[in-house]
Amino acid sequence: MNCDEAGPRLFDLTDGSAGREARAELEQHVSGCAQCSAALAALREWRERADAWQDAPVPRWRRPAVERPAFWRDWRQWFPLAVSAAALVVAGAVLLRAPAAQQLPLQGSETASSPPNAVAAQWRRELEAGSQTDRALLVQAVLEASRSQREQELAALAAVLKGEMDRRALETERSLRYIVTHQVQDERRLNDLVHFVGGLDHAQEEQP
Amino acid sequence: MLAAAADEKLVARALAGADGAWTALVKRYERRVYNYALRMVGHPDDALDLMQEVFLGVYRNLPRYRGDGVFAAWLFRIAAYRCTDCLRRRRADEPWEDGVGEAPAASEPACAAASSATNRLIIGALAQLPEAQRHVVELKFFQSFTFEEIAAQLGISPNTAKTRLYAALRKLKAVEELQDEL
Repeated sequence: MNCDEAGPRLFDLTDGSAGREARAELEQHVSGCAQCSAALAALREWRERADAWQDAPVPRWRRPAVERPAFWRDWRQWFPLAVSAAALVVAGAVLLRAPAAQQLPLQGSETASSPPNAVAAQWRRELEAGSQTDRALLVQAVLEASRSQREQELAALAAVLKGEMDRRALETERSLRYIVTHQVQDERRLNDLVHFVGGLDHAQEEQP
Repeated sequence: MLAAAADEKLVARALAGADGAWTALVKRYERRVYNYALRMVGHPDDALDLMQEVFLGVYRNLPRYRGDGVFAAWLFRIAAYRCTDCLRRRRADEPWEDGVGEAPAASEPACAAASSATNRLIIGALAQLPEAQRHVVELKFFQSFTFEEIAAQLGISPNTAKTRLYAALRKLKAVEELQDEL
């Protein structure tokens, strides 16, 4: 063991972290090395000195004051408020729209709320002539008809999309088949060419 | 461990804007940091400036403290950076002459501020060491950090920290022997 190896491990000797063999090895080196022996002595002295240090009192100074975090940074403050506000807005919108939806067919004038076709005019006449229950049933029927119409539109859209996807899949398949077929043909021509060239070489060797 | 847990709580409360928690955190460490600064820079005025810079750095970086280590180790990492800056500035301010780059010897006011003969001896001896070695001596003997913690704070390997300590001890011993001879 030399000083470069022993020096950094001197602390292991004093804090007891060195194993028995390592300790014996270190002690053997230190006993025969003036430099490491001096360093070990200094290590022990400085431990005692550190314990003997008397803390100097801190002079008066102005501690940095805490700034409260910006309101928007502390989500715990604004998040519940934002959620409450959003809930209020949604609830308000629902409450305001609900009566309007019910009253629209009943109070609507010809110019503002009449649908532009004969069916709508018929519905309005039926609404004005019918009872409250009839009106509710009619509104439900209109809603269901609207829903049914949207479902049909969505189904048509889905069919178009499916057709498009099928068309592209078919095109991709054709392209792949074309590529594979040509590769096979090319390989066959290449083989023929190799055989042909091989035949030529053979013919030349047979000639005297 | 309990102190570390208390530190974590104080940090969390200080981050939430509790002035009392921040003050408690500063009071808990100001004496330790001031004395660290006094040993590192050797002058009470510089030590006070350094301590203020350290706490300012801690305060600014507190939101980035992830709590994945001991708070004291994190604080002294900042202290090491600030101390290096402080010593670099002081070297830049000093006139260019032989021995530049060496640690300045402890000045009279520093000795006056050191309340005991032992303190004066320590400050004077540490001033003989290069900054890198002084850091390791300070963190090992006075702050009682492990070599792994010291390595993390100084951005070096634990083995380098041990080697620096060994070199520092040899130099300290040599200086003492020279002073004894004189």
